[in-house]
Amino acid sequence: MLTDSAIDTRAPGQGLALVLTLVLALSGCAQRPPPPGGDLLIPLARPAPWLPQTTDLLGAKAAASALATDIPTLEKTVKRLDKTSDSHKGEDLDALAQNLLHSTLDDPEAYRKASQKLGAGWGTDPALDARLQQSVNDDLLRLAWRRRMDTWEIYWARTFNAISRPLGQAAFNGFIFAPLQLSTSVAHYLASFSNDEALAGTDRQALTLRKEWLARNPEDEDYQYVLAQVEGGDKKLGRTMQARRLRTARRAEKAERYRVAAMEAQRALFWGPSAEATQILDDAKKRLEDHWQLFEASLEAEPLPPGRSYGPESRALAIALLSGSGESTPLTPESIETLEARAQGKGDTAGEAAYIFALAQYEGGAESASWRTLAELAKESPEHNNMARYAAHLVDDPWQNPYRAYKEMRRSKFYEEVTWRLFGNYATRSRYPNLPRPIALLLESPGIASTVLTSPLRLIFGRWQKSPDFQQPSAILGYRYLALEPRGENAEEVMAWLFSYEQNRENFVGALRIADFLPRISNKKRAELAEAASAQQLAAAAGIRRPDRRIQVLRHTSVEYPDSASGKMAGYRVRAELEDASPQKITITRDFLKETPRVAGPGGFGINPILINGKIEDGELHPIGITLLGGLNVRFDLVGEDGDEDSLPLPMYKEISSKRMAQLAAMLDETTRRNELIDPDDRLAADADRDQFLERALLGLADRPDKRPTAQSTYVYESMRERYGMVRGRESILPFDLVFQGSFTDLNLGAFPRWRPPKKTPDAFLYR
Amino acid sequence: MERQLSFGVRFGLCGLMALGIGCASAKTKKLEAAYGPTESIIEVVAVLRRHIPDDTYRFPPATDFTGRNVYRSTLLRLENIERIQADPLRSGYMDPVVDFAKARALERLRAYELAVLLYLRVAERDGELSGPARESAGILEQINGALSVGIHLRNPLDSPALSPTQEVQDPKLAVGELEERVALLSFLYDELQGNYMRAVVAEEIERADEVRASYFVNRRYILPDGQLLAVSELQRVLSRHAASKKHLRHMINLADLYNDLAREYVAASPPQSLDFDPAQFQDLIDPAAQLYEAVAAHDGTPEKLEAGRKLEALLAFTLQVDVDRFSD
Repeated sequence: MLTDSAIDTRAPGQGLALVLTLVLALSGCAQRPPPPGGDLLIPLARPAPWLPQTTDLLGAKAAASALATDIPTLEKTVKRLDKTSDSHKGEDLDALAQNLLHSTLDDPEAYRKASQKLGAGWGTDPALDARLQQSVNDDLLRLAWRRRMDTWEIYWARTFNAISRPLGQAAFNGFIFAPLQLSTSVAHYLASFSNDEALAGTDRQALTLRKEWLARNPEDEDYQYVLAQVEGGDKKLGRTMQARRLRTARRAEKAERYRVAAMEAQRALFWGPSAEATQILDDAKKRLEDHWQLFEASLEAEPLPPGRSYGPESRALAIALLSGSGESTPLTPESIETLEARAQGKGDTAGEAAYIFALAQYEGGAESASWRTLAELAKESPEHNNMARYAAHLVDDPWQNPYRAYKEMRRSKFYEEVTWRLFGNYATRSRYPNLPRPIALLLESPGIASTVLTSPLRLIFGRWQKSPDFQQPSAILGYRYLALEPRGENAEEVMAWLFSYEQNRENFVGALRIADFLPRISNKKRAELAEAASAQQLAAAAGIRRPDRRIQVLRHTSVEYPDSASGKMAGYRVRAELEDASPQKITITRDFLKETPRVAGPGGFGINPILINGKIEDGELHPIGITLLGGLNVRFDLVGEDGDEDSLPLPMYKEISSKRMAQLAAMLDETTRRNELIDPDDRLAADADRDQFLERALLGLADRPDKRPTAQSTYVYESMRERYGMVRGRESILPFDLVFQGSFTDLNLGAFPRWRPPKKTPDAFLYR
Repeated sequence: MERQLSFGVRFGLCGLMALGIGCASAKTKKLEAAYGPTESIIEVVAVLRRHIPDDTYRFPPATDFTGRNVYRSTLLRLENIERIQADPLRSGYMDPVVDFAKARALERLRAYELAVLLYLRVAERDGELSGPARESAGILEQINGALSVGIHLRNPLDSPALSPTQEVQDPKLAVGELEERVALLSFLYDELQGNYMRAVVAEEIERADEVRASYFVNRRYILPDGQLLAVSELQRVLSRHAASKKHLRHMINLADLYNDLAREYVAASPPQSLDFDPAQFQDLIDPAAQLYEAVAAHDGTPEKLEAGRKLEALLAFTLQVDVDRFSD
């Protein structure tokens, strides 16, 4: 059978060889399915002879009139079309012609009304119906009204759930606790209003929609009414934003971050006058001014105190200090002894001696002793000892003294973790941050008590749950210490901790890097780590979408860990990636082809129907289906000779004609987009590279493949069953869910209806 | 009784007020003492000396208790001491110490010429510091010599040094000169094995590389393949200075260039136009987002905040591109 394509993988065989192969295949592989009983593709449908009939001509005339804005002709043509009937006239041509006529209406509202009327009743094509409905819904005021309704529904859902939940729990646990549970729930319900802002997010959406409506309809009779709504909304928006800024300013002032407090207070004032914001701004400015004066004074010098002078001793000490530069101990042993003795005294001179003595200790290798000396000095009052402030700064600075910062961070994070384990989320935040702290605590106290009581249960069952990485800041400080002091006194201790930290968080690459510096790690352990590290990198490579980057990581893994199993696997993958490399990898599964006969049929791809008829014996496409490889190349994955669909497929490569590729692209695009209109669950995920490839194929440019890695699409066209399984999870028609609840945290059982709050619109994040 | 009680209450209130004022005054006094003026040269020299061996190429320069750069505050304090304690210092007895300390601070602030002058002044006077001063002056003169070769970063508010025709001069010349500077500095770097000045020389090598990258970034519209050259020069800085304290800054600079290119590309080829090429746009967005993300993951650095916000801004920018033209 002639097709418009040629299989390029089949070499012309000789007759004898063919006969021999056939005999061998029939005798030795009698149980296996034969190769496809025919070509992979069938010829494309020939265009049928076609002469335009009256409705075709009228349709063309109507379209031309609409484009030329010749309304009288258009109206006349649409009327004639309505009365005419012939064999070419499609079922929806009348509706489409009407819609064409409506599209010339200048008033968008009139167009929406006409579209609604046209889509009403039965018999409209679902795709056209969906399109009309989209136009009807695209009404700014209607959308604004819906967002407003969303706000009310959120309030209603909150009210409903505040009552239904305690009642449902009481039904299970006995009504003795009902009054208590109900009153607690009502208290929480009332407290929840403290978290509300003057203008809710959904109302902000409504406000923006109304503003857009005003801009588009300045002559409308409802203009003044909507304007009043917008003005009211703007006032609320101002109050909302001002309250937010004030909250941040208050927090910053409390934390003595006056620069932030001043900035936030200024931002609050942008939204309108506020006595509190002005007060915070003034206070913060005053504080900053005071601080600035102190800051400037710190650079000043004062005359030498009575009784002090720069004697030969001071000069010698300064010269000794300056002539060294860190490579060796700056002072002689005698001077160090003198300094140590002098450091025991009081006053500035003793402070200077102690500071220099600590420096000598540090450069002499006595790191810990040096920090102890400085810590002692830091305890002195700066009123009596000028060097105390320098010592305190050095001791507290996480860049100068990272080991102390590391130890303190570990300790503080340990307590934080213990608190979190005991109190759960109550440890980190309050549900009612805007209420006075005692009231918020009182409201949350039953929850806190039950959380503490059930913490042992959480310790048992929660260990498999992912918990926050509390010690990450400690690790950063640990690494900083190692960078500053690679041979420091505490380096081994820090490395040992970091090693176990990295292992615990399954960062084996990091652990292996540290293991190289730890003497006690056995070769066996190191080999295990190398295996785990290479597996980690292999898994990371699998998540990389761009083929060039993926190959880069795989190659690095194979070179870095050549002796590990994963390293070897990475090497094989590199080879496989290079062998299978193709500009595109757009897959159309077998089930998708079955589900969309228009795509599979001669008007689309034109696949041989025996390949998707479910019979293995005459050759069958593997569930993977076909893959568009870029250019005009297609890979057919067939069920292998063992007839098992779960086994590896048997690939066959074929170059198709650009006409067939264009036809496939057109049918694929049209079918998926139509399905998307008809069935909201049948969404076509966004993929710019796929769309670009199909566009080029449609234009007949697919024979020039785009080989850039970023141009590759790996999109998979799947059937609905492949996507959702046997039964699609439909959303309930009820506005609430029935919840059966058993909680470890408060040891409660319950069954109750929970009102679903309205779904957030996709652009809701723009209104936070 | 009532009178006694009210007297007691009044007394208590007065006591509390006095205690409050006392506490506030003690706190202010302590704060004033902590930020009080410097009293002696030894105090300043000791603080400076502690930070002389610091590797300022790899780690940020140390700060003093006020949060200022320690070298800058040392210099200012020494100058103030010279002014305020002019009488005890009049004999010139401590001059070598003061000059030497100021030179040590100045060399960390890139004021090499001034530092050389001070070192030479110390070297002129016989004493323990004359040898080290002469040696340091020699090193700084070599750094100065290297810096006299090639172009430098310019104040953008200054009028351009070159005419528009000179701007398109052969970039090989600019690169050649900067390579010569780096070669001179690299020789010095090798010679200074074990010397604290190695960090300063490394900083100058890094700066020369930055100047070179900046030259190409600023002329990316003028030079042939200018965009490509600008990207590769910034990548070069990034790879050559992986250990630098400015590594994250270099990453942000490269990401910024990709970001600028993406925005310029969208301005030239709007996403709705037929010219728009999704793969090309992706080629610009991907590295920018990855670099910003990598920097934003570095805890404990201010660059983290900057990169995090820039990443958000970049993602917000991509929202204006339709999903069928860019989807990631």
